[in-house]
Parts: sequence; structure tokens; C-alpha cells
Amino acid sequence: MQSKYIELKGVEKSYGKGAASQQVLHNVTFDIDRGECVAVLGHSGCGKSTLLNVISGIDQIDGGDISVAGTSLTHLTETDRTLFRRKNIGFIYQSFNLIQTLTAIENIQLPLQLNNFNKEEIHELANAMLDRVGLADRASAFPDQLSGGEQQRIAIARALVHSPALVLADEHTGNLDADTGRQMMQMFSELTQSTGQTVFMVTHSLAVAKTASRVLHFSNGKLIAGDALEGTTLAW
Amino acid sequence: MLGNRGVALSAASAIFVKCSGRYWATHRWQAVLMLVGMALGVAVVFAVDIANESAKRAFSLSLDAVTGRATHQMTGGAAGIDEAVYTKLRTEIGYHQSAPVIDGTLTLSSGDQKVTETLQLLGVDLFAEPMFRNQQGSANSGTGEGSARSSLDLLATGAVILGSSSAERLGIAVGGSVTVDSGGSLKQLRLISTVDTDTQVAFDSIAMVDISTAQELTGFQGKLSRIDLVLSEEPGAADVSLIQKTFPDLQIIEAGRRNNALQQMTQAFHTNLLAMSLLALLVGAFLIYNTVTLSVLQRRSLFGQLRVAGVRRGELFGSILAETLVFAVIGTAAGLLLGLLLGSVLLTLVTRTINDLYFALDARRLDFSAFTLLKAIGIGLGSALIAAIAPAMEAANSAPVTVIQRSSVEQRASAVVPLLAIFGVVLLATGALVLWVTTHSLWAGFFALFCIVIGYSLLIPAVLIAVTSVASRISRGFKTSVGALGQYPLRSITGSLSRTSVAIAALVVAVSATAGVGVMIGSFRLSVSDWLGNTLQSDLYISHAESSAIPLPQNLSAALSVIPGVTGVRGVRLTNVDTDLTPAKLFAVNTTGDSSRVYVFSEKTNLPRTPNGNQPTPKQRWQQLISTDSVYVSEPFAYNNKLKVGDTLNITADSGLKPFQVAGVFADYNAGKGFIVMAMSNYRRYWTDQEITSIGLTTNPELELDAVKNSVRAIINSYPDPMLMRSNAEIRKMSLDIFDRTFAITHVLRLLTVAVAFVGILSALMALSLERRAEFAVLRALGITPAELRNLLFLQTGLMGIIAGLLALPLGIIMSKILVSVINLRSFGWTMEFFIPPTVLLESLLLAIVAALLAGWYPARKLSLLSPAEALRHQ
Repeated sequence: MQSKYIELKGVEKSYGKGAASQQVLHNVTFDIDRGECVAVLGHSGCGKSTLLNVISGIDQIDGGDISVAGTSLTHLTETDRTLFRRKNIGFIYQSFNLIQTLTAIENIQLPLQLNNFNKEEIHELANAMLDRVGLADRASAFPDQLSGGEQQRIAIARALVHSPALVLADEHTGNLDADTGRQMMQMFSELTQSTGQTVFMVTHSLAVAKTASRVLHFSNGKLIAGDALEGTTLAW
Repeated sequence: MLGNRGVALSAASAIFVKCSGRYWATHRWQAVLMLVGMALGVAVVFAVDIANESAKRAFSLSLDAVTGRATHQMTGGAAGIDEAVYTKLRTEIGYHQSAPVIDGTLTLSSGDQKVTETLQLLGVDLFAEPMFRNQQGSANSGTGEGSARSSLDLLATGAVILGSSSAERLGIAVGGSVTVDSGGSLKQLRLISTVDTDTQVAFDSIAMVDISTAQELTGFQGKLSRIDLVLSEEPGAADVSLIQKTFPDLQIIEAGRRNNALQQMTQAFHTNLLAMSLLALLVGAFLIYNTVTLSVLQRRSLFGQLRVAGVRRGELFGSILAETLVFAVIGTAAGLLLGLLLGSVLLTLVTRTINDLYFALDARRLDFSAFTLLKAIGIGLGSALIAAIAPAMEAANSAPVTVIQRSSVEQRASAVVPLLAIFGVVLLATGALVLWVTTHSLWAGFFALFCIVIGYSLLIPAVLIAVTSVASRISRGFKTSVGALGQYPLRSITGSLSRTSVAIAALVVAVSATAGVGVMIGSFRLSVSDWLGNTLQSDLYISHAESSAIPLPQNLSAALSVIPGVTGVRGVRLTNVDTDLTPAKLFAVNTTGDSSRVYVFSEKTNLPRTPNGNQPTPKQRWQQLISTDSVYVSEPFAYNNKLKVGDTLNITADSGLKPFQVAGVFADYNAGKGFIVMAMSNYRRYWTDQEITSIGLTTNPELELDAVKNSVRAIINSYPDPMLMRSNAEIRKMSLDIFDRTFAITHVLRLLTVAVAFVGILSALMALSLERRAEFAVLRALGITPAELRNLLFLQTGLMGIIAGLLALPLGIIMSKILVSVINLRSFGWTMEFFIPPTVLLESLLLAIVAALLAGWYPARKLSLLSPAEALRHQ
């Protein structure tokens, strides 16, 4: 029996107040097993990124409950959610979000340092990860000296270097051309599958969604279907 | 076609105005900071200018009021003129265009003693006055009976006319009484009328009494301070030579010359204040530059989008400048108002210093010329527009795509750093060259100082890069890994060089000014303290209560010498003398015993040496002073007259000009044009005057000083003349108190300068925190807690403070060295020891760190409360 790694029950989330209030998540309920790779597919603005934010604990829900690895995020303080995220979650963004004033290797070292790895471990693990994403010769480069593809590889390395149990990816190929995006997905899949990490990604790309073992269809803040992608025809 | 361009222009302007309006509506704090920055910059300069100008104007009006329409003045030195001279002038020579005057300083107190006013005492002869001054003609009797009545009332003993504002502050009405401190005893004066100070501004500082009342108040019975003359240029009229021939012992000087001499004395003080305000202006200009640059740089993306949408370069450039102008107008207007408020505070401090050092003055009315107003407006608008030109041109001339990219700004900023550094070095070299080439020009000294300050500031971006690079390398070598997080605050400083360097430069200049002026004041105070220690060799000093220049009773020395415990009595004669150079005060000193160590000779300073380069010892000089026709001159006198040891100085003695050789140039920190010291034996030889004006007593250290003081007090109280006895310690304390009061205004200006820099740092940090919201959101998403983020930002601002503080110290020391060895020398002729109090440096370093941390507190707190989800969503 597989353990449920992520569980969402009746999650509600809205932004704004009063008449300007806009509900982004409507009674969202699903669960994800440990080691599973799940993609959420949906239009822009349908609430996919918000879903990612509430699962990672960087945003709070208005109703329902979310638990990750058996810990209910709903009842944790801001600091506790941050510490939970620091240890258990790796993040990859569409716009890479590398720290511009740090070099490629220093960006990768960040999560290791935050998780109190010692100096030797930080050096060893970061360099190994840089090597695995194929950018060992670009260690001292600053983000603005790297191409889009290279920046995203560094972002992936940063997300995975401290071996988090959960990897969250938000349109992580959205800023890349088709070829680079494909290469990136391949590398991403290899890295996560080899470590058995749980992956939860949101995308509007059918191609990206196809790399997942399960796809959740999202529309207007609601989960409309949850199934393998085989045979699905999507209009977007 | 033109019409289309016009339409396009107005459409582009309308779009810009709409976008700009919305930007500022959502960035209100930034708008406020920009306005505060501009207002503070303008206010400091305007306030110092109006305080200076108001004090100068009050000073000038007061002098004019005292001088009136007199063309010449007859004076007899500090001892005054016998009133028989006046009678002889009118009766024997038949010269009626003359008026006797007693002048001095009068301290008046309200009935409850809570309010005190120190005013210029003007004792006049009512019957001679209409020719000279007309204040009493406009007096308000308060009874409606007119001025003639009030003028006659002045003849009554103890009657006084005051300015309406002084009377109001003292809380007395016409007919009421006011208390006067006359040489230690309290007397009552009756206010018989007031002069409307709205129309006669000069009367703010004057108390007018009848001449007999003035003689009683000042102890000048039977004497006059001077006789005012109106000498006609008509043929046959009495002229200077005729009067001079009749009264060869008296001096006749042009009235304007005396006033000019007084005004020149205060000029250096005003010039120094102006320099301090210019320093504040420099920091203010940095601040205005910083805030305006930030506001433009932050909207590069918006400007890029406008360019993409078809807004032309000229339209964008013009719109940015127009927007800056709108802010500058509001900021400058606020600065002028703030400057008026601040000006009244500074005026009080300026007036107090003038009172302490030069002249009884009660300036309360804020006066400023159109030029001062235009200068402040020009500074506000000019700094803002100049600051906006470079970023506006850059935003307008860049390709639309690069305008949108943030990194291109920093790349360009980094590219300019070497050029700035080269220009900085050139300015530093220029400053050093000017200091080396010029020897007397005060303005050249200030020019050099500003070259050095600006040159040093231009080096700051390059130094920042070097410092952070070295610090980064050092941190990598630590056993405990500082790692990426440790590098982050340092890298953020250089990574946002376009924002951080100007803010740090402003803080560096402000803190260095604080350190520089602090070191200068410390050096000065130490020198003054040493000087007092050397000069005050006696234990007790006795002088006339009204003025240290009024002679003491002839037999007083003998009476004091028999007091048990008194081991030495030394008389000194202080008087005013004319020389072939400038007038000076002459000290004729008793030469019994060895007083060589009283005078600290300034040969170790940069004053000119003797032609052969050898300096005689103090004892040799003392012997020269006693045994030959020689004098010592004070540093200010030597400096202003370009005199050196060995030169000849001609002094007007009773028998005419008499040459004396300069045997020494001694340190002296009295305000004024300077002193001449002469052996009493020489003074008696060339002057018939046998008086002494102060007595110094040395006492047996084994006896209680209080017992000796009681005996001395009993003797001086037995004389009709009011006399003052002060101990060595009292004079020392009083002198240092005056010194501290003199520099109170400097402390205020230093604080203001730091406040201006603080706003600059706050503004830069707020702008940076806004720009880097997304980056901080990523850090939060990576697992940095709010408290850790706050600490990280504090670390960054603390580092900025430490860097600014450390960079400020060398500049502060250089600045203080220039202030001590160049500016003070050229302003006042003073040289002093250069002493760097470690506490001043430590305080300056702490000031920079605390200012930066305080400025960082709000942005750090705001960012720690940042919702990462929201920041990422807005990205």
C-alpha cells in the first residue's frame, strides 16, 4: 500500500475582499502518493500556481486542509511552514528566479547552507549537482551571464541539491524554446526518478504534462478530472 | 505636420502624466522621501544663509544706529576721553557739530529676573543729538504726548528708551522699571518710552539713556567713550587736522573705518558658517540626486514600454524633466518654509556667538535678500534637474529593449566607475595643489576643501567594489562557511551600485563632516585649554567691573600686596593703539620675574620663520622684550599683517610713531584682530599713561585661596569703583563655556547634515527593497524565515553603515587637518595643535552604522512581512 504524501481536502482560497473578492480554489480535494509525478494542466489564471503556493505553504488557504508528509500545513505558523519548506520542498519557476548577485554555484549552495550542511558537504554536493546538470564549467558565472536554458538548469539544480522529498515546478519550461524545453524535461525526469522524489508540476503544455504519471485537469479553480493523460484531447 | 507633432506631443505627455500619476499614487512613501530630501537640502542652506544675513544686517544696523550721521569719531582708547575735551571743542574751537557718547554693554532683566536682554548701551546728550541720531524722535511715549516730552524725560536720572520688541520681551510697559546689572550691583531704570522696532529695526539691540546715566552705569564718571563729529567738506570749515592739532593725544578716525573693523571681525565667523552650509548643500545635492535618479531608474521598465509604444526620445526626456521640476518646485517650497523655521533657531545661536565674542547684539528678525531666496530656489531646482538629466537621457536614448532590462543599468553604472575614479583623483590632486600654492586666500582654502570632498566621493564606487571583493574573498577563507548567504548582503551592495553608491557617498560625506568638524573642535578646545593654562599664571585677577580696559585705582596694587598669602602682584595695562598696519589691543606687562613661559610661540606652526631660520629660545625673547624696543604680536595680528619675527612694527605712541621689533609671534585665541605685548618699562617710556587695568595676584599655595579672596574682596569693596575678582579656575571655565557655546551651531549643522544623509540612505533602501521584492520572495520560498530575512537585510544595511563609516574616517581626518591648518588659520589667524580624539572617530563610525541600521529598519520590517506568494504573483 502506497502512503499518501500530499492530501488536499476541500481546499478553498480567494483573493481580495468584499465585492472585489475572487475565489481561486473551489473545494479542491485530491491526494498524491510518495514518489508520484503529477502534473496539473489548465488555462492561464485557472488557479494552478495558487495550488502550488498553498501546497508549499508560501500561501495560506481560507478553508479545508492540506497535509504534506503527514504534517498539516494549515495549523503551522509562518515560521514553521518556512522551516518545513526549507527541508522538504524544492521549487522551480518559469522565470528561473535565480539570485542575480550570486554565482551559479552559490545559487545551488543556498538550500544546502539553509539546511546546515557543513562546508565540505556544501562544496561536494553543489559541485556534483552542477556537474549533473552539465554546467560544471559555468560555476562562477552570474545569472545574467547565462542563457535561459542554462539558468533553468541551475534553477533545477538548486531545487534538487538538498534532496527534498517534494519538488514543485511552476511552468518550468514556459520560458524556453521547444528543444530546450524538451531537453530540460528529460533531465528533470531523470534526476527526480533516480531519487524517487515526489514531483508536482503545473503547466499548460500538453507535452510537459505527458511526462507525468498522472494529470489533474484544472479549470476555474476546480479540479475537473484526474486521470492518466492517455487519450485526452485538450483544446489549449 | 507641425500640428500632428503637437497632437502627438500632448498625447505622449498625457500618457506620461497618467502613468506617472499612478506610479506615484502607489509609491507614496517614495514621493514623500523625495520631497523630504529636496526640502531638507534646501532648508539647511537657506536657514544658514538667512541666519547669517539676519545677524549681519542687525549687526550693521546696530552699528549704524550707534554711529548715526557722524563722519568721524574722536577716541581716547580704552581709558576714554575726559569730558572737558568736549566742552573745549564746543567753546574754544566753537565746533558745534559734535556729540558726546558713552557706549558699552548693558544687561537688563525683567522684574521677575526670568528674562534677560543684553543690549548696546548708548548714552547721549539730548541737546547735541538731533544732528546725529533720530531714534528718540520717533519714540512712542505711550501717553500720546509726543516725542518731545519723552525726549525731555530722558534727562531724568535712570530713564531709558528701549526698542518696543525688547520692552515686550522684558514684559515692561512705559512707566515700568527694569533691572540693570551695573558692575555687580543691581540698579533700576525707568522705561520712559519705546521705539517702534518695526520701523527702526536697529533699536532691537539698543538701550538709550542720558549721558549722565550712562556714566553712572559704566563707571565712566567725568569721561566719554568718544565724541561723534560731522566734519563738513565746505571750505573754511573745521577739519580733522585742526581738531587733531588741538587735541594731539586723541585719535580721530573715520566712523566707517571703526564699523568696518568690527564687521571684518565677524566676517570670518560668517564665512565658516557658510562653509558648513555648503557642506550640508553638498550632502543635500547628493540626496536630491539620489532620490531623483532612483525615481527614474525604477521606472525604466515603464519608460521602455512607452518607447515601445511609440513615445519619442525627446518626449520622454522632456516629460521626465518636467515631472522632476514639479517635484522640485514642491520640495523647494517646503524647504524654504522649513528653512525659515530652522533659520530662527540658528539665528539665536549665531547671535549668541556674536554676543560672546564680538558685540552686544539682539537679532531676532529674519532678514534675507532676493539673492538668498533665489540662491535657495536655484539650488533646489538646479540640483534636481541636474540629477534628472543623466538618467532621463539614458532612459530616452537607450533602445527600448535595454531600457526594460534592469541589468543594463548596473552594467552601465559599473562601466562609469573607472571614469568617476579618474575624475576623483584629478579633483583630489587639484585640491592638494590649490592648498600648496595659495597661502592666505580663505576662498581658495574652501575651494580646495570641496575639491577634496567631491573627489573622494567620486572614488567611493570603485572603493566599494574593491572593499566588497576583498571582504568576499576573506569570508570565503573562514573555517565556518559564510557561503552564499554570507556573500549575499555584500554582493547586493555592489550588485545595485547605481542605487547604493550615491547613498553611501552621501553618508560618507555627512559622517566625515561630523568627524572632521569634531576633530577640529577637539583640537581647538585642547589648544585653547593649553593656552589658558599658559596665559593664566596668576591665581586671582582683578579688573574693572564694566570693562577690562578701564583703569584701576592707582594705589590698589600696593594695598593688595600686603594681604597675607599674596606672594606676587603683577599689573597689566590694556589699551587700544594704532599702528602703521591695523589697530590692535596693547598689553603692557609687568616684567618682574620670568614670564617667558606665558607665551607659546608659534614657530612650530607654518608661520614664517626668521630669515636665518634660527629661533631664539623663549627666555632669549623675554630678555629681548625687556631690554630692547621689542614687542610680541599675536598670531592673528601677525597673520593678517603678514608680520614675522624680526620685522619692525610702528606703533602710535604719545610722541608719534615709534618703531618696535617683533620678538615673537605667540598663540592667541581671543576673537578680534589681535594683540601686541610690550614690557611695561617701554610703555611707560613712550606713553605718559601710568594707569593699570588689571592685576594678577599669585598666592601661597599652602594657604586657603578662599581666605585670600575674602581679604581681596574687602579691599576692592572699599573703593568706589566697581571691580571684579575672578579666580584662575573661574576664568578658565568661563572661557571654555564660551568656546562650547560658540560651537553649538556647528553641532546643530552636523546633526542636520547627518539627517539629510539618513533620508538618502532610507530612500535608497526603500527603493532597493521595492525592486527586489521578487528576489526576497524567492528567498522566502527557498526556506528563509521572515526573521532570517530581516536579519539578512539588517546585515546588509549594517555593512553599508560600516563601509560608509570606515570610508568617512580618512576623509574626516583630511577635512579636519584642512580646517585646523588652513581654514582656521586663514579665517582667524589661529594655529593650533592637531589632535585626533579617538572618541570622535569611534562616535562617527557608530553614527554611520546606527544611521544605516535605523534607515534599514523600516524596509527590513516591511519586507519580513512580505507575502512571497503575492510578490511572486506580481512578478
